Amino acid sequence: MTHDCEAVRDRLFDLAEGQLPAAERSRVERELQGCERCREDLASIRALHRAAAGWVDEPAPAEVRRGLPGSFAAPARAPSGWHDPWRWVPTAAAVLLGVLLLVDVRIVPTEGGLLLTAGRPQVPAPASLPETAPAEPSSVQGFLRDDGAPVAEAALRPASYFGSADRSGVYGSDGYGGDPYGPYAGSSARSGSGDGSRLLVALLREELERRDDLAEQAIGRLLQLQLRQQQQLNELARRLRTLDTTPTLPADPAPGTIRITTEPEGAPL
Amino acid sequence: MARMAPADEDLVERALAGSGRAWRQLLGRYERRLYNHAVRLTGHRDDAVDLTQEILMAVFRNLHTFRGDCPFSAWLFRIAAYRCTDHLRRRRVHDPFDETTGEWAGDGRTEPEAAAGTLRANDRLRAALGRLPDEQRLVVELKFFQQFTFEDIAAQLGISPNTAKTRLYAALRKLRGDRDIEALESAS
Repeated sequence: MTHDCEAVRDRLFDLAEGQLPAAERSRVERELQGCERCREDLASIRALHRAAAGWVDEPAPAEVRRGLPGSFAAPARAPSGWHDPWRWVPTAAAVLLGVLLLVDVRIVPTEGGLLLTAGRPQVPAPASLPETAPAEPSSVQGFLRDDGAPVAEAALRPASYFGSADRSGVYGSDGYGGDPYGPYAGSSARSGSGDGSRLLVALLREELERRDDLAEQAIGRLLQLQLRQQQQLNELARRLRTLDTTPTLPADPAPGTIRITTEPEGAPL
Repeated sequence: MARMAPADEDLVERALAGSGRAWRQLLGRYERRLYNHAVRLTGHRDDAVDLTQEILMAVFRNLHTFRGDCPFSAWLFRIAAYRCTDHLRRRRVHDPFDETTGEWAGDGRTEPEAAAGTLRANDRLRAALGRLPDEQRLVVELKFFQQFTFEDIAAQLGISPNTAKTRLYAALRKLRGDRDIEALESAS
């Protein structure tokens, strides 16, 4: 019988680990008697097994978890690529924001709560505005009724923490309406994602109102400036129409002199 | 009666469903094993930390692709093998292993730790493994320390089982007569 090192090698690990059935073990051991190289391989396997068994695991430093989230968020399971609906969220938000800016949608605080309006609010014309002044370049007329109220509006019910006396709104139904301080205080017993989102909505509304006020003030200043400039232009135009460019000669000019007048005497500039 | 520990596959399922506890349990089950795996393969503790981080991050990113058609540990070590191979390839540029002396460069271990007997045994083993080529060291690691079959190793490394065996026996012959392995033998 010829020795087949390849066949023996396939069994050496099982032999070293005591996994071979008795009959098979006897056969492999007989094979090993005739091959020094195979015996050396078996000795090496056993030596390395012992060395590996002597390895003492070292504790993993805490840094190995650096950068790892503590848990999985829902998107971790979602498929990647544009089929993933979450990947559309930033784009959709940007498009929505762009549309809102284009149609000038704003949230306006009113006595009864908040009003979602589209278009710029009507600015009453100053009494001093001359009739010839150009109309304000605005699309506001298209968005307002005759009485000036916005046509496109959505009433946002007042929350108690906005100081409204109306406690039958959205937040009053789940107990927040009776809380004089709203979710800013006394909400620990109701802590949870609901409180957090309501607080966030409240903060966002306040920020929107603040920015809206700032924007309105800035627009008002711009309109005043524009009106003043228009008045000056009108005045200049009026004076231009009355400007007399006919050269007038003195009744008794001195010999050899010509006087040209482009402005009526005494006309204010 | 003692409660049975949940299977890896159950933990994966729960982790993917959003259970942070299951994810941390899974991490706790494997991070030590992976770190020691990385220490033996890189021979350097700082490198091992980096490599373990890479592996765990790759597991985190790819966990949703685990189909359960093989044991989780096999799937995990397939990722680990890929990361290890990549890491060792990149590290060849500044390998701490000094081929002239056959020693690993120091890794900042403090003297009291170095004096501990068990850690010295670990160091000897690391030094012996460090004298093997990367591809042979990886097969030795997977066979002797992770107890995978040749078929598993072949699947993890993308080679045939015969190639895995050839690499392993070549490594055994290199380690034959290695001074650190002999020192470990005589100590035991």
